Amino acid sequence: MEFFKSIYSWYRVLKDYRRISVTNDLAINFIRIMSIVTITLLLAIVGFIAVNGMQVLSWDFIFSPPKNNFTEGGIGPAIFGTISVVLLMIFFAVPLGVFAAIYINEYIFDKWYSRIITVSIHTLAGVPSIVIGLFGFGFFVLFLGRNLDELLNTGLLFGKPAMLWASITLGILVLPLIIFTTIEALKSVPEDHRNAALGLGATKWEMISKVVLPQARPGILTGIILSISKAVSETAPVLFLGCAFFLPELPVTNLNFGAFVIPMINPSEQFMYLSYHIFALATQSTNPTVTLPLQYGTALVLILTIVLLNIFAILFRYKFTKTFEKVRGY
Amino acid sequence: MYKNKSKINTYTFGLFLIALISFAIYSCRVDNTVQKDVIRIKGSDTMLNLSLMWAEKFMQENSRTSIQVSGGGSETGLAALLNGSVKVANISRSLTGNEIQTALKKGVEPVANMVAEDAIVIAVHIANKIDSLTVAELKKIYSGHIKNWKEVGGDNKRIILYGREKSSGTYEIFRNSILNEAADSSFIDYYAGMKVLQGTAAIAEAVANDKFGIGFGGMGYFASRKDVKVLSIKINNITKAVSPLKFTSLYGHPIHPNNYPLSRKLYCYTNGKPQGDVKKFIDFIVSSNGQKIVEQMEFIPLTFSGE
Amino acid sequence: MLPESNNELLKTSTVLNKKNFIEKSFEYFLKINGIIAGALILFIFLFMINEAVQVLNYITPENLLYIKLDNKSAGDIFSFDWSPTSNPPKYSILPLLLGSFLTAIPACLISAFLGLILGVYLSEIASAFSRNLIKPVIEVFTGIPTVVVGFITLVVAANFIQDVFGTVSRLNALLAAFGLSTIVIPIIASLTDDALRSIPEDIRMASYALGASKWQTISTVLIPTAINGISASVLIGFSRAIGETMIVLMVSGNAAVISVDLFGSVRTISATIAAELGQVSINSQHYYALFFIGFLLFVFTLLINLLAELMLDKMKRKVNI
Repeated sequence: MEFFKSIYSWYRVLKDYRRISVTNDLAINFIRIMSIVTITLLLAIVGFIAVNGMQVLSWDFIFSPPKNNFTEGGIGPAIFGTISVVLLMIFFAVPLGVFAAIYINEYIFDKWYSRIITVSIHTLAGVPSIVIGLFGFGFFVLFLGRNLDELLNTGLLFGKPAMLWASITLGILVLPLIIFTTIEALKSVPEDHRNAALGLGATKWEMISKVVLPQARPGILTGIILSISKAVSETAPVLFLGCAFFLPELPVTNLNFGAFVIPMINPSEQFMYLSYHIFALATQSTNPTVTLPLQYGTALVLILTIVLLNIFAILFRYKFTKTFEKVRGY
Repeated sequence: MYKNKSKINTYTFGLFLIALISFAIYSCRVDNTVQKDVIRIKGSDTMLNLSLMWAEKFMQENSRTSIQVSGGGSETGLAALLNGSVKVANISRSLTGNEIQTALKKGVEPVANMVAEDAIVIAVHIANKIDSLTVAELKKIYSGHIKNWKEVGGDNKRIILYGREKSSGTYEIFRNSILNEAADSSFIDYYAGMKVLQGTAAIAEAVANDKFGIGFGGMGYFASRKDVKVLSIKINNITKAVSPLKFTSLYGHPIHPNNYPLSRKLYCYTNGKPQGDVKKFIDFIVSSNGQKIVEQMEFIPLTFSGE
Repeated sequence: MLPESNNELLKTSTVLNKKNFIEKSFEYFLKINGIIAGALILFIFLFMINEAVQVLNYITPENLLYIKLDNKSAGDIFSFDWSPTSNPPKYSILPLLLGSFLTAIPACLISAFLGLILGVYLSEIASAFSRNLIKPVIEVFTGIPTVVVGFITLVVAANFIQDVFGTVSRLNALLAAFGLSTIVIPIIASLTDDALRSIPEDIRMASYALGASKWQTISTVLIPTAINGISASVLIGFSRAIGETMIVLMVSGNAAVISVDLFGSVRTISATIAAELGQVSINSQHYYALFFIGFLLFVFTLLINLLAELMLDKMKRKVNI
């Protein structure tokens, strides 16, 4: 009897084990398959755009303006506009973001209000881009712009949707990203280096500018690249901040310096934007079926830009960690 | 270790410099500093492509004049005309008394130069059995009282309505001349279930893909497509159905509210009577060459049979 | 080396003074930057609330929900329409709220399911090689241009979905939900992965040592431990879905109707702002109404994000102990 009992209990154990291992196998394999399906579906979107977009992609497509009622030609002005806006945005957002990050990480990291500032920047990161766009339109264009015009008596120079306001608004959008990547980069600079610099008699600012910042530079650059990628992929905030469907002229102006004439981006003009161009082609061009290849081409250029920027960022980050591993000696 | 890092900096700096320089070269490439008389035109998006074609042809004949066209909407064009930043404003409707008053206050005398006409067409999928609708039926369809195609003689399927955004001129015109054609009754609005798309092209695209859809919009977006059917419209049950497509011919029938209810006039507004280069340009537009372009772009040319 | 004369001492002290001055001015400069960055959200909030409350000068609060129309034949009719250019203008926010939730909630459900699975796979099951391959892909996908997703959904997925589900309208809430999932799945997956990986290795080892299988460890140890982080990831995904504009603008059909039909067209708050702000006349009631709904969206996402932040905090404290 005892014998059978023990056999039975062994049987129970084995059955249990079998049940557990079957469930385990089922569950793990289910997760594995579903994950691979999801990833494949996501990649299929990009692949689909790549296959369809390759047919129109050429240097001519990238540099030439739209022709013949948008059925031919390329996206040159849209790329020009995107680069201009992003350059201006870097000009506004990067110094503010980097300096704020230095302040948060180096000066007030142990103060009670540093937590408040971090949380508020976190919240800023979560605000929908359309709300930022709404704020940009209401505050910069209508409030600031109109009042500046009245003050300086400039007619309608500032109080209209323009590249200037679009780039500042995008700057607000990417500010949290810049701040957090910079803080991350600053954090990864070893504390010993700071102490060593201070020990040698450097002042705090000397320590930051000569020791900490040079080491954190690749990390900060990663942040800037990611913020460019974010700005390029946004459409909603620029919708009513000066984005135009088509502009026959590039938004440039000539600065006269006696004999020299230097062409410069004109921030008070409207501009074409790559992501908006897809939207406009899909909904507003004369015949979207005819322009479909161009839409695929534009989408491909946009996605390639994003992917390349991200690869750059990943490489930078990789190199950055490598450098620090060397510094730390492991 | 130190060396390695300075290399990174040099690379990034170099990359940035290269980007900047190529950008500068690129912007130089498009720049031309030859002195020219410039006519700036701004306004209606409907007229943007048309104006671009006019400008292109006009500049081929008059190389001394440069014409810059940009869109942004009729309102934008008017504002720019009042500021004096453009000489011509493209406006796809006539100005209201209020707007003319404001203009006069600012010392601008807006003069309307009619340049073309545009018809708003009703389109369905190419496989739809319907060929024509009366104004009364259209009104019922778009106010949500007729919801099935079989009530107007089609298949037993739900009607899918497509329309434009509230800010568009087409939205206004359709509402005024179809939904509220009888002035005495109370205000009728679009059916809330109407799908609102972001451009006339999107409507054409949707109707081409949706077997039981119906949409409206400027003729240029529908006339050239093979996958949509442009409906003829009957003013009432007695009159003959009129297709808007026959108006596109240069010497065809003049469009008139009595034979087709959905039309609008397109204007180039100038400050005072057009003079100099602007006059030349406007004269070119209303000449037969200019009107051929109108026909090409699927708008309705001004007919010469004496207004 | 000590200074040899008073003169030299004086020189050193001026240098120090100068250094001190530079030091102080830099600190002030940095402080200004920090304060601007920190106060920006507060400033946006105050500006938005200032613009949003002005809607009450034009529209009574109950008219933001419904409007009473007298009809000669049928008596009073309550209209729940968003139709600002109608006569009289109607500003009911109900169809917009419904529309936003009808696209965001299905999107969030789909994405929570697939995103969690993907996150668990990345953190617990994938080999180091496939993890290093997939993680960057996921990260790139969190930043994919939404206009491209909208475009592909419109051009390719719309007909496909109509054929599969046999929907009457081609552009519908479900289609928008599928489009939104494309951007929400990577967010949830990435954050879930982060949450699971922040759990110390000891806990996994302890579970295995007690004889638990991998699935038992995941389902009874890891997920309960990381539940706060996972909920936070779903919340963040939801706030992203409800604030997303371009996808819903392009594929949801934008019909402002009161319905809970997943296969019907809906109009969301974000799409309404994007479509109508461009040509609205400034300081009109329509303008302030748009700011009002924008403010609603703002506050809503703000609350969700703060909640997510709190949960992440809780998770961090739990894991650190």
